[in-house]
Amino acid sequence: MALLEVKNVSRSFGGVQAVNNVSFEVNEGEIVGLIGPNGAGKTTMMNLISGLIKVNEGEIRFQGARLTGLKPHAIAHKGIARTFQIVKPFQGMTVRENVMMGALFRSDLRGLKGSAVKNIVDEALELLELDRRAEAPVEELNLAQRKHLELARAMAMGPKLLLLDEVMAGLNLKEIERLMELVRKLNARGVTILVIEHVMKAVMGLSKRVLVMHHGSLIAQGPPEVITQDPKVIEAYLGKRRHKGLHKEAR
Amino acid sequence: MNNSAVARRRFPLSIVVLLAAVVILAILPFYIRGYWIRVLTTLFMSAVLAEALNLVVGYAGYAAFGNGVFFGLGAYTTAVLMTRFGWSFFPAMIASCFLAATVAFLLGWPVLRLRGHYFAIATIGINMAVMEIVTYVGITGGGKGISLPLFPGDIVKQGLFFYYGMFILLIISVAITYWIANSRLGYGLRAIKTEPEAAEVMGVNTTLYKVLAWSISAAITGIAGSLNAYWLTFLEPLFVFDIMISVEAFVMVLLGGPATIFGPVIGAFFLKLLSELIWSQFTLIHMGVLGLIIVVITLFLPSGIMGLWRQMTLRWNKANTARTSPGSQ
Ligand SMILES: Nc1ncnc2c1ncn2[C@@H]1O[C@H](COP(=O)(O)OP(=O)(O)OP(=O)(O)O)[C@@H](O)[C@H]1O
Ligand SMILES: [Mg+2]
Repeated sequence: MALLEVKNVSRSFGGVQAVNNVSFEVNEGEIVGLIGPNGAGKTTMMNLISGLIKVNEGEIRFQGARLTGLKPHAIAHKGIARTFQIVKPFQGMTVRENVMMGALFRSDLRGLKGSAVKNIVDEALELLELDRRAEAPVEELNLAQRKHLELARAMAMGPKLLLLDEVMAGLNLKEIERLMELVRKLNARGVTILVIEHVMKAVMGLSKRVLVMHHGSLIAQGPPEVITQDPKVIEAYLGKRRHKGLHKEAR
Repeated sequence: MNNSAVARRRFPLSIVVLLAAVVILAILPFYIRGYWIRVLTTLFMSAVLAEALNLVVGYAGYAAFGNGVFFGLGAYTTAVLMTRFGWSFFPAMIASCFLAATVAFLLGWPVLRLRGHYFAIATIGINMAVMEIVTYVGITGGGKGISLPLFPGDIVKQGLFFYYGMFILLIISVAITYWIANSRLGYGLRAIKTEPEAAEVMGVNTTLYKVLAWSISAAITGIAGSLNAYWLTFLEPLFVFDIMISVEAFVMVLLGGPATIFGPVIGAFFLKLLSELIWSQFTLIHMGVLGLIIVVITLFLPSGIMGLWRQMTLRWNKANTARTSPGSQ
């Protein structure tokens, strides 16, 4: 049984079919890439898994149990954490407090003492190389640090599945390489990862299996080398937007 | 090293100031006249209303413009129970507290799903609707008002009872705020205020947390209304459901500093003493000055007096470390 099962899931907004009859699985321990041109429905797919948006049709299962119909906080308690394409730090808190939010609301920590929370927070801060900025107000972080913070918060939740929505976007090459290293490290700790990414170099380097979405549908899946040769995928990327090729943003 | 020394020195100082203020306010009634006892009692009440509103406005970030509805509900529950059913004050007060909290709890589920302005308008609507109901229901005495039994005992005892009643309620509401600010509830609320979606996917039951905050706020506000009713001995819907009660509390929260433990209390003292000392002569422009203060705060003091204070101490500390650091670091 796969860790995450998405079965015939659809979701529309008004007339826009954002996700159209999509099915795929994510196995325990994998890093799976999810790619597709702008507006393909990647973020919507992630919103459906984390419960922020309700599915119209189909169902999503995690460890064999239905997620469909659960509130996002209940889904989080089952062990699914995520980051946001547009980072959402809690303003008015320090970096440490932001990460503490991940640990405070864990369902497996109810009733545990403050020291257990502190250890988890310290570990997450260190893992994402934010320990030296721990007491800084979150407003002082630069974009790369904010992306690290999104990951640190998610890791403090002790997730089994981590959903990453374009964590590399807007970073320079050096920062991307550093973050890729960290994502591998999180995976090595036993966290399964589904990663949406426009930076091709990152997807290719991280995942052995890539899903491709276009106009809400899943048009291909397979190893990255095969995917990039798939005519349907090339068509999806090059068909309408010649100026935005498959290798855009891989500066 | 320098920083921790500053912190160590300041922490006990604030506790000392706090304790001194509590002791002074506790013995003050024995040294002042009845007029000032009444002024301070009103002031405590305003501070309680502001502190309660702060939980919803300051921490959760929801503009509960009609929060005064719980003040009116508490007042009328006490009035009806004492006058029509012969209850004594304390049971009536507890019932008022529960009723206000229950109403907030039940209304909270649908209403707190509304965002921003819609929530603010909905609470004003609730305030008006409840006022209308109270006006047209027979048991409340309707528009003509309702009289409560007089406080047993002479006027001095009466003055002291309400002074200490409001004072204790203020201490309790500050203690509750302190507890919430340092608990999971407080962190959840602060997260909801800036990034509700991120809070939700990190495991915060956002709707429940907002409803809890509003219910606690309503419970405190309801008790204040109950005490106030027994103190005034006469209620009219137009008076206890006056939207200005909410607006004034709002200004106090913004002025003192939203989402701080003592900000609303400081805001209340500031505004009330100012109005007592200066504006009592100019009753007509009272509203004008209130409006002016709102404009000034929103333009120049987004985080209130507490925010200004924090900025100043931060700057002072920086200047201090800059002066001493070459040798000490
Ligand atoms: N909350 C919403 N309300 C209305 N339409 C939406 C909403 N969310 C997404 N859409 C629409 O659904 C489609 C898919 O959007 P989505 O954000 O999932 O794309 P994406 O693959 O993440 O794109 P990008 O690479 O630009 O982030 C788009 O046409 C978008 O306008
Ligand atoms: Mg997206």
